[in-house]
Amino acid sequence: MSIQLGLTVYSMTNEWLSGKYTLPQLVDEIGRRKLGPGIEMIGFQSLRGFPNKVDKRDIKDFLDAVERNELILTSLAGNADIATHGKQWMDTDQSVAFMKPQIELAGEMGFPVMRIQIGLTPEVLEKLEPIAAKAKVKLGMEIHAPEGANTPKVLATREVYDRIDSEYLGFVPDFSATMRAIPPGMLSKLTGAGLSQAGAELLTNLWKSEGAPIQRYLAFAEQARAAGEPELPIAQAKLIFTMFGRQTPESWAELLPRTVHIHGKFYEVNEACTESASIDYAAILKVFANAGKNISMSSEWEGHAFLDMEEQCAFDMVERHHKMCRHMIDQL
Amino acid sequence: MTLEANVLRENPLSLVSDGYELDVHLAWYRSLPLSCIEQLKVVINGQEVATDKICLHHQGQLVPFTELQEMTDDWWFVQDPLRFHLEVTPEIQKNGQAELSVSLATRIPYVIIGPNFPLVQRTDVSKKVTVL
Repeated sequence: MSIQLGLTVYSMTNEWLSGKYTLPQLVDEIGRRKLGPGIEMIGFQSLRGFPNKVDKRDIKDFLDAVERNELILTSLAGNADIATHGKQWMDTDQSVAFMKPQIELAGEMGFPVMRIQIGLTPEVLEKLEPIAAKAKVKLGMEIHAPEGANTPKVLATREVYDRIDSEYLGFVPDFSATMRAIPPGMLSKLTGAGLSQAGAELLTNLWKSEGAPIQRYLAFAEQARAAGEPELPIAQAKLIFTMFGRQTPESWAELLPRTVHIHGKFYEVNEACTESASIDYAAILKVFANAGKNISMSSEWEGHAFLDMEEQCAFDMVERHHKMCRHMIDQL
Repeated sequence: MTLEANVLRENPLSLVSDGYELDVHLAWYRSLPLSCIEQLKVVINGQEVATDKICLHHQGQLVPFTELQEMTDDWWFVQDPLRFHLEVTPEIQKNGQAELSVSLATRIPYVIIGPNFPLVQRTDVSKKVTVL
């Protein structure tokens, strides 16, 4: 097996939001720093008018940049915005209609995979499969915290995948589902917003406890309010229970046959580029080493959730992540 | 620039004859439909602007804030600010200083954290600004 390194442009969220780069300029910088060869992006982040009203010139400029930097398109990340309307969530047909143009655009652009999300029910997936097959785009359901390989929604998806048994229905494991610690940078953000040390300990203990993420968050919020913690970090802490999951690295093994791409989520890399505090990369990569096939992995730095561009350059982080992954892969 | 810091950039508040114009950036990493804006609370020098006095400049029209919840096909592109009209009696002169606080809550339509329970991302930002 081999893991093809690369990145998602999502890692450069801060740089993108700052307006410092156009999309082709971002791609050129990725190429200059040799952070490929794989390149992934989020349609709703990187493309104005996605998916129905994207300017053809924007697409051409992006694809030209990919070509001149000798990068390889890996995945276009789509979104399943089922709660677009606050009171009337999308039904099956509305979800299919929402996803169809995203899949078709991925195919037109030459992406082999479209990342899809857990909000898509088995009924929607059945209807999307022929659309994906026609577009020659493999749908990769992202398994992201708070879900995991064996949570009920994912088990339901695995069942429908087994029944349809199409190469166009697969998974994109995201390492956020299998974390061993809350990223130290996230805790610093909350204490910076006024959460006390005792509040941070309460948060860590509840994050490590058993139960549904929302219930654990509500328990934290109730106890933190009772202890007089400020409201803002209590509200912000909700992300901890949705962004950082606690499944085991070994749980990924069951998804290997249908894995079509990987999100190498990370928040920090140690000084020597041999370890990441919040995610046990050595254990996780060992699981994917048994896939028996080549898989692309996007380095997905999400430290921009709590660090700004002046504090941490995303390009540097991806470079360090690649170094760490190469070190680990060499030892497998 | 973090997502919070992104909400209010340089000189977000400007004076107009019947109030202020306020530029707000999205505190999320990707574009969202306008219908996902659940709350916008604006406080200028301690005075909260009533929700029914807030309108969005959108495609040449002023759209009342309360109508945004139905705008599922109109998008807030992640790099663009939204410009809101705040219909209030301006108490600050041009080039005057104001203490501006904004609380923005957006529903994240694909992050479902419980049964029928989407994530609502709330961002509070306060900033001393010069009114243009």
